[in-house]
Amino acid sequence: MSRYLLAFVAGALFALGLAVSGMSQPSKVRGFLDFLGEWDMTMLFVLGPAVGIYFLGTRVGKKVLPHKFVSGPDPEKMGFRFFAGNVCFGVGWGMVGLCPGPAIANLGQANLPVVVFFVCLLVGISVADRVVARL
Amino acid sequence: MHDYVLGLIGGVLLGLAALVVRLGIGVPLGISGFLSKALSFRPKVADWRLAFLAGMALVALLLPSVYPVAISEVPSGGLGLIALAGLLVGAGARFAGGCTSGHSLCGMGNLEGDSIVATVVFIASGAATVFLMGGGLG
Repeated sequence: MSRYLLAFVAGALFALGLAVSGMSQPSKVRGFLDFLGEWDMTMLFVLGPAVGIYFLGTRVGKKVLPHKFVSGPDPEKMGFRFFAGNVCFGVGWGMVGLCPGPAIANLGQANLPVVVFFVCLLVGISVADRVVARL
Repeated sequence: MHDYVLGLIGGVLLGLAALVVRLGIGVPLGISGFLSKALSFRPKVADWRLAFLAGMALVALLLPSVYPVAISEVPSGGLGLIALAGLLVGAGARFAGGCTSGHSLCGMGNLEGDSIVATVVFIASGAATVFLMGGGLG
């Protein structure tokens, strides 16, 4: 199967997973982050099988398809940029309850807040990429 | 169906999607990284990532008629707050080298130390933000 078709199917599967799991709903995400309030632990039930399947699948994959594993991503240098980035991400994520995947999954509702979030997400990505390129 | 059961089923789909990209194409799945490559506006750089994003977009377009519950919730808060959050999430993910998909799903699924630290830091700062804003239902 061509990798374009594979990528298309994976993208559809990923958006479907976000929708079915409830992680496309900002209140479910903010509910998970609300540890001191009415904590909603649904996200743990989502991450469990997702991380588990990926872990087991990549273990098997390394044996069956070793040529796909010759190079992986370099680990991030855990310096100021890394920590500041994660804090910014977490603050924005907590403010609205959306991250990049769910923002795309919600675009079909064609509501102004979702569109504004998505456009600003793209602006943030472009600006940060330009800053990183100059470092 | 109970939310936790739906969470488990959705989690299986997310894990399979990430595995298809990892084993079929040979790289970890990361939405912020894919968007970054797409924003280069160079077809050779974006490549198959555009097909991935098109697959997501197709489902996003179908959800309102097929499974509207998943996207019935309009993000709360003023547009200024939402815009600021979008900027922080986008820039933050790039500075951190990944977002929830790249770090929390693929990175943790591959037991990478930086991804585990990233996940702990953004969950902690997200939780602090929700707390300061008066809780998840506020």
